[in-house]
Amino acid sequence: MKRNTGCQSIDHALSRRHFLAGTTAAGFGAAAAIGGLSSPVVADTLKRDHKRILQVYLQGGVSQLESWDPKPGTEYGGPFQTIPTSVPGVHICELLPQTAQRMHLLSIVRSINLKTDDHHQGRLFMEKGRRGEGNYPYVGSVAARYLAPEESPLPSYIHISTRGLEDDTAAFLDARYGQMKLEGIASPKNLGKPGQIAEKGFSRRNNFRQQLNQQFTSRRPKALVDSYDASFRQAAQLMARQELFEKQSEKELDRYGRHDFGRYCLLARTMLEEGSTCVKVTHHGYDTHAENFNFHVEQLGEFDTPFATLLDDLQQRGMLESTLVMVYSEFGRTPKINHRYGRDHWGSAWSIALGGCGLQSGAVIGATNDKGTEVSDREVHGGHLFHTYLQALGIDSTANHDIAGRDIPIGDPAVGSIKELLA
Amino acid sequence: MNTTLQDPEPPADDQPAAIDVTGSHEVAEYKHSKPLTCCRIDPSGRFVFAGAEDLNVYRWDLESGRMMILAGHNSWVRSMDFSPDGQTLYTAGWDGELHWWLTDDPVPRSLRMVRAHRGFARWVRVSPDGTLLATCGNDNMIRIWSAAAGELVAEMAGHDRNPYAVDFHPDGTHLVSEDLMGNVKIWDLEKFEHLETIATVMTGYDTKFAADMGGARDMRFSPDGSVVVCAGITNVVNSFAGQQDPIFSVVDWKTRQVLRHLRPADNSTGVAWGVRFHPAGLIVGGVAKQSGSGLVCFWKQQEAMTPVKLDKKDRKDPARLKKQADKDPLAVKPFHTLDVKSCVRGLALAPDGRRLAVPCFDGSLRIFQMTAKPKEETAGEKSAG
Repeated sequence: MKRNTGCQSIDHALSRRHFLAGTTAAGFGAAAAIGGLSSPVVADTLKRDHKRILQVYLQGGVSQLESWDPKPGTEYGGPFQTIPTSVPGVHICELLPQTAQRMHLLSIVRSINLKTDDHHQGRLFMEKGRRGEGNYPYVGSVAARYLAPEESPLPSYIHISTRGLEDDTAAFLDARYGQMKLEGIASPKNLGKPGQIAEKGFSRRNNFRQQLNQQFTSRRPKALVDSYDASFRQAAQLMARQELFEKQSEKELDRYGRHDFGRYCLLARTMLEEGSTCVKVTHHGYDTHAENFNFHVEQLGEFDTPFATLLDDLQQRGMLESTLVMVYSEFGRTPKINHRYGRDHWGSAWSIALGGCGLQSGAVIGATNDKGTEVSDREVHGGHLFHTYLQALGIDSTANHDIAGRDIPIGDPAVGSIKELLA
Repeated sequence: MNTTLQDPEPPADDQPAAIDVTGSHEVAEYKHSKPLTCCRIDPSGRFVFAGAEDLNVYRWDLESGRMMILAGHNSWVRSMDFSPDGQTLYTAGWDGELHWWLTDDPVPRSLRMVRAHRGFARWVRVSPDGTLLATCGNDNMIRIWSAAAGELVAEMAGHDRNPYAVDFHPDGTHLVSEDLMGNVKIWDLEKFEHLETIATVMTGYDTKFAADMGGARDMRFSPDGSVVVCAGITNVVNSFAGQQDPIFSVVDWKTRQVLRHLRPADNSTGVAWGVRFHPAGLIVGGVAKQSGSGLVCFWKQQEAMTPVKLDKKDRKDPARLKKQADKDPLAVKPFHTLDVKSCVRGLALAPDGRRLAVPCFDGSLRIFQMTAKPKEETAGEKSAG
């Protein structure tokens, strides 16, 4: 019988990881060796070849009618009008003028039906590609597992957000592929080593920790200790890159905007440039059961310029071809407008925008009917999208994860990718 | 208590019954298939106009009930006003457009359109002498237009967030506007410049959703210009679920201070969408309750304008005031409240002061008579019950 080594649930590993994100200096050092890439030529090549994800999560459920699938003048169309985009014949809502000019870099999927109107279930389906509570990894963790360089210069999956949403993103994958949450642009708490500890002492502490790890591993499952060790290493990486969290360039803030979301997008660019494999930025405030239209004026007004600027910067740096861009929510909003000028949850017929690595650009996949109440063409759900994300990144989503000799399908075997969207 | 109020002009024996708002009762209902957004009764009292959650404005003849469509906007209309002679109707739409119409045009058509704002044109008001129009919109600008030619006379910048409504002071020398952040700005109309900003509690930041909510949903000077009343919200608890309090802030023109907060009697949550001064010395307010029904509240103007002694800090910084209705030291409760079946999206008074038009979410434009119910009708209802 196997020896009971105590609770080994992945939740604990993740808890420890979250702890590390907040208290990186708690007990180790020797971070200096991990840093930027030495040769500019090699660095540029690696930057181009390293496939990544930029996730922009519009939390709460952005209205498809006020963004990617407007229907002005129809029964539920709302008050906004459409504007032409840089793709002839493709129109989006007037609230996205900057994004509209970059539409040739993006594609729209207008035919998503998740068959759920629940925030949590919708989010899980969109992130894991599987319906329900099954313990599967998020797309960001899968990307981190298969795309992050072995000696990744930064944590491979970073989430910039100011609140909530503590998810078990790595599931059965190693905890090192789990999401590291950054509370906005502030550096994680205690990122520096404790002031009273000298560098030498700090290094000795870390050596001692590694020695204990080795002893511990000799009597216990190695994978778990490796996972903890990887978390320490990632924290060390962040410690060595304190400058990433220092004051953002005024010139860049002029371009991105000085509000939180502008600053998060700028930090996201930095993290992607510096080697993170998946960077997720959450923009809150789309759960508009009341004042849907005023709130979309405010929220999309805040979203539009920083997102467009980030797209420009990725393109100008030659990174867009290797970066999958996702702008998504957990669902859309009801066509019907309620008595509070609000729209409610609606997972049955809504849209997202995708672009960059491995995808067609300027495409519109699927359609909803005239009133926007049903998908009328090419219905897809989170499972199809999950396959599409991974295949766009060059990951065979139909293959299996090898988890200690056990095969687990990466994507839901019952569905496939949206092939016409792939480049 | 059944309060019968004096008519503004006491009627002769053969004139209609005295105004008695406590006897207010519904006398007509005009139905539309879409939720209504606002309404006005023209100065002659012949027509009532309403905006809706579609691209049209609707005109009903109050006598015949006949409805005509005013087509021309490309989005919802939420504000309209009349020239002092009542012959011209001006409408502002969320398409950014400002339209001119003949009030009694047998076949209504837009006579002129100007693109007033980038994004929504949220509000339009006509100056007391009828020569100017003031608009505000999502480009954060206040613009002044010549009513006769539709030419831009001036534009005034200063709001950092969307201004929601404007109104002219009755002497025509100043304009006020209120934005999303509850800032009431006073503008000089000789130099077209900003004079002063008055902070109110009519805004809230929802930390959970990281968004602001607030702003005037209607704004009216008293006929003598001594106060301006702003209708909107305060005490934002969960803005995305519509959980906040309706409020009518009474701002004293002379002292530039918030005098009182008019609140519904039941402290219900929702949004205040309309306010009017009734010639019988009343302030009438329309509320959309969070639950889906509506209220029309009646306050006595004198009570609504009686200052409350506050300590200096509270007076200087209204943000310090308790925003909850039951703790608000400035709160004034109505002496009468009329329940309405559906959310109230505005208010309009007929020139005779007897009729009140209420546009509702359920698509009904309800007309209330603000006099005691005729005895035979009351008796009939009783026998039927």
